Amino acid sequence: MAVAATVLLIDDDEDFCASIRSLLEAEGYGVVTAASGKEGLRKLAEVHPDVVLLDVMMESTTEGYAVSGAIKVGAVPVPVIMISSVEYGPAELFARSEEMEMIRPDAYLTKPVDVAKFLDTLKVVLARRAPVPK
Amino acid sequence: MISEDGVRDQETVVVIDDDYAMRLSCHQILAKMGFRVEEFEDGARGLEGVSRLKPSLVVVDLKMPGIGGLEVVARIHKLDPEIITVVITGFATIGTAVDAMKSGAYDFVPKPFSPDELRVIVNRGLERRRLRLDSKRHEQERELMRRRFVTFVSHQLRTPLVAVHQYLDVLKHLPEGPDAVEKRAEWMERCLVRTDEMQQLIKDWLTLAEVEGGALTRERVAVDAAPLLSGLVDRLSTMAAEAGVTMTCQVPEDGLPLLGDAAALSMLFENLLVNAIKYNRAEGRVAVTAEGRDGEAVVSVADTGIGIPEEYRDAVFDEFVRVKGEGAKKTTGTGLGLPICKRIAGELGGVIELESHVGVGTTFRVRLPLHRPVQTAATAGGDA
Repeated sequence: MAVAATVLLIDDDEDFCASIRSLLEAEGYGVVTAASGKEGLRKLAEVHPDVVLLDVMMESTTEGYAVSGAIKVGAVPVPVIMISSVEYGPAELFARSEEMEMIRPDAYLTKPVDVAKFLDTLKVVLARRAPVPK
Repeated sequence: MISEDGVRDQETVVVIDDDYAMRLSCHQILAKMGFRVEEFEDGARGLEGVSRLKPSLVVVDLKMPGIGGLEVVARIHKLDPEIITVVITGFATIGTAVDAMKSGAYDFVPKPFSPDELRVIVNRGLERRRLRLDSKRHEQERELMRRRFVTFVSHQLRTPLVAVHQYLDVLKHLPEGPDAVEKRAEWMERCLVRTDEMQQLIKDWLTLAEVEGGALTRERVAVDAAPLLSGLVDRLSTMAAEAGVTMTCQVPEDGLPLLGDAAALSMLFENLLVNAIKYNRAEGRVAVTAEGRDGEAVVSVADTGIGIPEEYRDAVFDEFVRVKGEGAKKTTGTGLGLPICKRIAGELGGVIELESHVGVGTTFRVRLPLHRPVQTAATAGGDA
């Protein structure tokens, strides 16, 4: 069966990855996981995902921002959904400076994610770039 | 004479006085001390100069036409309370001195004064400024550390909670079937592991706070580390066997006397032993050796694990730092064990060091003062 879209999930928590993977696979997505920013960027080049789900606090407290920056300046634009339990409001954070504006993700969700809202966000972000899955 | 220290050359001193001769002599004295000196002939120009130059110290004449000296002192204090002001006064009475101090002046010099008198007051004033700026900076650093710590703690506590919540929420949404049944069983186990992790984290965090407050290390009794260590090795042998790790223990037969809190010492060594088992390889070894030399007890715990990369060697004693690497991935830990060890060792007057070779293993070495009971009953508390 062909997958609707391929999702690259970058998160250092194995359990979070396991639950999100099952959820997405049940919804017909293909899922590739990476446990660090470095591994994530390597897999990004290997599997060419349709969307990246990105944690923020991994080995360093701002690793996700660095990864988002690397993706945004990369040759092939891939939408990024940041998923983090970081407290402060992302809108305000990314408006703080030009550098932060550059790495602004396409969507931002707070952990733990609400399943319905998460799946909706994923569809919306993917729909912005043709072809539309499903 | 040139200034004694290089830092002083950077400092600016402002002189505000309407009397040309007084400005000149202050200028000469202060310039000789190595300051950059700027002078102004009245209060208004002086205040403008102070806000532009941001000097370390201002010498102000009390009696000037226009804005008076007391007013100048008050405005400088309002502008930046860390600027030291020294008042020159021709009529040094207790009353004027008190008025000047009330306005925020550091001290006053009665006219006429010798170069030495001015120098002494200026030096004392600047020393006080340096101390105050230092303590302010330390306060800010502490505040930053505290906030960083709070962010870390909440992240560490939230991570397992998020994992558990996400499992439960996804389970609710997964379509029923054999797959869901299998997942449910598997994930329930994971939820238990993660809630245990949270419990342990809270427990360790409280322990750390207790060690910090001195509550855990308050007791000072004679403790023989030799049986303590061999007892710990015995107790942890099951855990070691399950991990496929062999333990050896070499302690002095005539004992290793320490002075400290038995429970805290036991916790210190147990943490190190558990780490050595956990971060080892299959069929690895843990060697515990203890000896007394040069008034010190040296306890080494050596493992044959993955080793600690150089960039982590200082940081492993900081809260919540866990070495990430292939071998460490599957290991649970709160990242508080080594900070607890370091604090206990420190509270008991000792240190903890580490030596590590990546791929070969790590040795933690605890050095604590040996306890030598005083021989004669007549002299008390004479530890040499």
